[in-house]
Amino acid sequence: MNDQRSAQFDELIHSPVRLRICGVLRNVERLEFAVLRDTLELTDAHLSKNLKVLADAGTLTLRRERSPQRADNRRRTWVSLTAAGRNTLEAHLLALAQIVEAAPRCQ
Amino acid sequence: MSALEAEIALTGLDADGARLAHGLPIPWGHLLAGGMLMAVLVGVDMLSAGWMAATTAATLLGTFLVGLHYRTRYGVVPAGPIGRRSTWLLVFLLVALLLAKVAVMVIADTGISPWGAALPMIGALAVTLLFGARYHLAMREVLAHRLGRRL
Repeated sequence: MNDQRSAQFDELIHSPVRLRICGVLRNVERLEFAVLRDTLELTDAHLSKNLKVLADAGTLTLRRERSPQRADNRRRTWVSLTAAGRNTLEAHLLALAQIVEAAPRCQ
Repeated sequence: MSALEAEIALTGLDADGARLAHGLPIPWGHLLAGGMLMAVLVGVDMLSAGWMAATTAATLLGTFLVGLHYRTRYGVVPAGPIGRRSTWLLVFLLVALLLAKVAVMVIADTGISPWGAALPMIGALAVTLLFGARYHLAMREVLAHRLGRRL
């Protein structure tokens, strides 16, 4: 099944921060904003800006949920890749792998 | 883009995965709660029909709430079993729980002392703790090492 995927370099995902965001989301159904921020060691503003770009492109979705665990009842934001986003990411990672494999190896 | 840049981008994903996995300690509290719920689910056949239905419903609701609390506590919703090891651990756990359930049904049918059901119920609790912890470790390992390599 993997062999049928085609490699496709994606300029939007290739930005270092956006690739890391998508990479972390790759093996989970969804992550909470704070977990993503702490994992990638980004500021709230930097992460928000990149999430918005990816969400606008349809690569991921942002879902806000009220959190009963917070005294001020603030909302938690859950981030997940869309099906299209997953496909784009897989194609992009495959393209990166092909670039690595195509390079001559030094002994 | 150069091969070196591509390789750096791919290996960087593994580092992020390792950090994500590091933030997910084994949830012993959730596993214990889940194990106790599984033990009750296994043992409900010892109850009368009315109580059996009510207890089963309460147990299933409790299992859902434990899962919900895990998500809220750790801010992660895992995408089902990831990796072959996680899948097998889940299968073993389900088979062990099913066998414990069958043992309780046999005990209920044969009229052996109700205390005989305690053994499969304790077994259900133990396997949930054991396999649950190993499942979590396997999931963490996959998260830590597979982000840039499952191609």
